[in-house]
Amino acid sequence: MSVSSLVAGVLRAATGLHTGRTGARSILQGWHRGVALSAAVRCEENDDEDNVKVKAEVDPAKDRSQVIPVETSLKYMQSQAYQTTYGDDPVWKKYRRNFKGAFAPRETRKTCIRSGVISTGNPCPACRDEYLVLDPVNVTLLRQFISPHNNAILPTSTTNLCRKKQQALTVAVRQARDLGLLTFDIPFRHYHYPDYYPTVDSTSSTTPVSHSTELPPPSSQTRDSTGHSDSQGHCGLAAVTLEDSEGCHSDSQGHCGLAAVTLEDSEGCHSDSQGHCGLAAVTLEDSEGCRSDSRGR
Amino acid sequence: MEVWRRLSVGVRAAVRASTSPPARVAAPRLARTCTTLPTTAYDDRDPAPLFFDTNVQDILKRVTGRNYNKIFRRRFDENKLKPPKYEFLTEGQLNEQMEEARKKAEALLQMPPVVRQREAIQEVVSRDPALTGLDTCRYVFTDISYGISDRKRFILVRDLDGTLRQASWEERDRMNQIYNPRNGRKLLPYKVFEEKNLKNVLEREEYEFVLDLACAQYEPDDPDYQRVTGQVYEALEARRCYQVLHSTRHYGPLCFYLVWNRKIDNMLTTLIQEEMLSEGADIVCLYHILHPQCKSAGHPVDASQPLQTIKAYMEQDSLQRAKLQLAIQSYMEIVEQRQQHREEVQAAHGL
Repeated sequence: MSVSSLVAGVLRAATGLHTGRTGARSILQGWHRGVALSAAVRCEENDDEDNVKVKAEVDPAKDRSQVIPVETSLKYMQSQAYQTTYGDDPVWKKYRRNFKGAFAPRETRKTCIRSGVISTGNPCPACRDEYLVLDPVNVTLLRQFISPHNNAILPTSTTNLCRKKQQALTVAVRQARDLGLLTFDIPFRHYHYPDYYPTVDSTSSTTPVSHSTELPPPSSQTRDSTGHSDSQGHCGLAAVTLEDSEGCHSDSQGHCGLAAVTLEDSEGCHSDSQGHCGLAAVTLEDSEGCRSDSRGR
Repeated sequence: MEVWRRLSVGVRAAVRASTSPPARVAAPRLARTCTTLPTTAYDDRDPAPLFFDTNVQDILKRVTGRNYNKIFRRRFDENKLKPPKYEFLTEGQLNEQMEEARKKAEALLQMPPVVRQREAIQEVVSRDPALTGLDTCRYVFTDISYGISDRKRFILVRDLDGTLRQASWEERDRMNQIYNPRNGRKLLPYKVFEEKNLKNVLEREEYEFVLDLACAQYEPDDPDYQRVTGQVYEALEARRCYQVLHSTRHYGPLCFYLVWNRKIDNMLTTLIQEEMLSEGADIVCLYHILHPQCKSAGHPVDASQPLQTIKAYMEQDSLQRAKLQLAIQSYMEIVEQRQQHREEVQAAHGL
């Protein structure tokens, strides 16, 4: 069987239900002559009075095709209508979720609104009232979905929002926090004072000598031939070849920098409870390898 | 010319670059660090030697209150709540616990450093015009070895014209955050720090929130950090609500900023009205340390007579004398009235 006859068979089967014999034949002819005919076929179908689709009547209570602006929602939250409907409770308080059995399914439904129309009998608290707009500016509404005890967004097991609205709520809350409309606490930031004023010693009680606080740019640390690191010791980004017998001295902060370590001794890289060999290429000629100290690598 | 035309575009550019006078490093981001931002208080003199001075640190720590209910308040950071623990303790154990709590409070009251604004980095490591046209993007090389402080990492940038330079401060912050992310810090700064949003937050009087966010997001020498903190301190000064930051880590830097800019009159007035005279005297002592040329600096400080110290400042260095004088007068009247009342009560009891 040739390919074209196979294709013809498929087309006939596929289109036979919808367009009838005339439609199938014209499509087949179109397939053989090229695709240009398909537009003509479609136009023919639209002109056909029997096939004109009547726009379905939508219950206005279930119509969600109109997007309500945030300002309207803000006014609604202060209005008498809101007060009568919800009182002082959060909007999810009096909503009851429907499900079979004693235990609710772990996830709520995916969405209550499909193609701009409410497609369920018991829409979630955010979908049932079109004037509740989840927006970063609408802080009074967002606060109802945030726990007063630890500032976390309440789970859907408590609020019973559909998954799409829960996602919209999360986005709105994060945006509001970014703008500072909702406040929150962040983990404590500890400062290491010597980073900002090098002569500060936490144990000493003497007045520090006034120094310039501008830290020298990192490249001002000289890389000499022995590869000794300075007081903040590290060997830097380069491949360092060390010629002395003691290898890379690391001090209290020392490490060998970004190179891969090739060690010629049998003991490998001495590392202690914190030590590791870092990422550097360091060729060590001594027998002890890279001696690391309490923090060294 | 025939030879010239036969060379590729890249090679031609390289030859032109190598023979022409060395071009300035094209660093459009560097302009943002210094030119267009408003000057801050810490531009002319370096505040760090004074801030980290032991005497100054002692004064600032003393002035910050120790309200443990505020220091150990509940943190709204989405963590799971733990039920409280009730224990029976002996007196020794109780003292131990109180000592531990005191140490924890000291750790939580660590003051963010006050340092000078950082200078833009302009260092060029090498010029390699032969690499011009190698790629259409810059390359950023970051040393990600474990254990180096973020401020001391090597971060280098290979520009399109082949220049290898030290990364600018913005590039450094970005790279450090990518490879070594910190809690509470975002790659793109919080939108709170923009002018409009900052004003909104300050109107709602969420001072501690903004300052905590600034501490987490920026380094102390970042011009943006100094701009944000400056604005918050100015807003506090305008509203006279210094006590909002009392018993927090930001009170010390606030006092330092106000004393540095000679704006302590309103603060002293507030302290006198709250009858916190020793704190007022401490602020005046701080003023003497930061401005040793002031007229009242030579006045001997008596720890038992804080009002005398404040009076000396008021008479010689105060810029808003009238209000401060009024406050001191009303305080003295109140003290007199109390004394009188006490004597009358004692007389009535026959003592």
